[in-house]
Amino acid sequence: MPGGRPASLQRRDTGLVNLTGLDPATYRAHALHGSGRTYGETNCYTDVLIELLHARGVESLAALGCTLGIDFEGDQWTFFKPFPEDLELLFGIDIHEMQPYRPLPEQAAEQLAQGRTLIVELDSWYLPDTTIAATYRSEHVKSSAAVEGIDPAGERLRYFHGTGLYELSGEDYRGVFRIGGDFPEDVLPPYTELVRFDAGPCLQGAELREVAHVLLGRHLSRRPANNPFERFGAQLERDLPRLLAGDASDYHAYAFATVRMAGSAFEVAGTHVEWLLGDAARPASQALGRIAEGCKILSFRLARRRAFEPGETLFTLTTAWDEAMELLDAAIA
Amino acid sequence: VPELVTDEIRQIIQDHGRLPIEVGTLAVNADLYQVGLSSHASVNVMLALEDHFDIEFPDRMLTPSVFESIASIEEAVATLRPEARVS
Repeated sequence: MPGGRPASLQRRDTGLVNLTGLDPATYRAHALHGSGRTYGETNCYTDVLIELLHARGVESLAALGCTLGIDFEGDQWTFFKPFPEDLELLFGIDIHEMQPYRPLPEQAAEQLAQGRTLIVELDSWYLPDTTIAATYRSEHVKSSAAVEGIDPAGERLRYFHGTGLYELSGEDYRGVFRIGGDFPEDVLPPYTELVRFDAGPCLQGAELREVAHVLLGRHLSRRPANNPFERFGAQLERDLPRLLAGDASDYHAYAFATVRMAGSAFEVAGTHVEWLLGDAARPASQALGRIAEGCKILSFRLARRRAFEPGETLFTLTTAWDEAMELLDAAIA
Repeated sequence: VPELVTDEIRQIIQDHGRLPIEVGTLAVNADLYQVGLSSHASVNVMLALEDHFDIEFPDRMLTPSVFESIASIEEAVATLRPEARVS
């Protein structure tokens, strides 16, 4: 386990009630968030789950076969998340919506005290770890976070967000929970999920791989009926004039919803199948890696907002998807 | 790579990389992603490098490894702008 503490309830003299006792200062993120990746981040929800599972001492990759089933959905690629049923089968984790009808810090402390946690949508305006992304104190963007620890009296929150574990306090704490101050009332409560770890056995080793193997077959069988990159390519050609005429924020929003989502999903998929199938999955993983690289190239080229011919890159993406799916079908047959 | 080019690259990373550290003291081989360079910011660094040095990175160079350190960026700029090798 990162940091070496048992994955059980921790209560400290400081008033902090927490899940694992991990310290943000010494926390080591999962390798999916390490250097050497084409995409160092996926999406806010999946990134949080990767780190939450990792912090619990289980292998997050087991739950990421879902990345193989993503589709181009007309104007965006699937916002992928580990399937709740996969998390339950693999780790005995049950995630479902919670009713935030009382002050959230109280609810979080109570659930942590019972060995559970919350995933909650927070306003990244108050999340100091987003300094790098420049949303801290500059932009109101909803972002999922999982509560690792909370000290309501001391106004401290430890939370998994993005690629790591962080802590906020004081004014940020009051802001993120909308305590005191002059907050407008026409804001809905945040979407909040309860995460329980007692819904079944938490598999490890060969048992974990065995179930993940079954799930991989299911995810492969529910992939799009035809090549999603062909449809994405056709839409991209239609979108290009509008994107080239737009501003930088239009580009970033488009890139996040399309190439970043697809590229990060298929890069994770490649790592998933290598973890699960070893060398037998290497050719498929390489094909999936070409998808990630192709998406990255498109990200950069779109960012220039100058006319370009995307045909060659789109051809690479389309053929790599076909190749990867064919190889994986053969690998699990 | 001339010192001037290295300084210009440092300044571009400082202005567009959104790093929580002073780039001026960063080792040329330090991993920029490890010190906080996001995907979002790496795109802005790439655009600023192209503008400043009047170059265009070919597709084969549009990879994270090209933007992972000051040294790797220096190498890429020197490849695309051979005169940058001459001090």
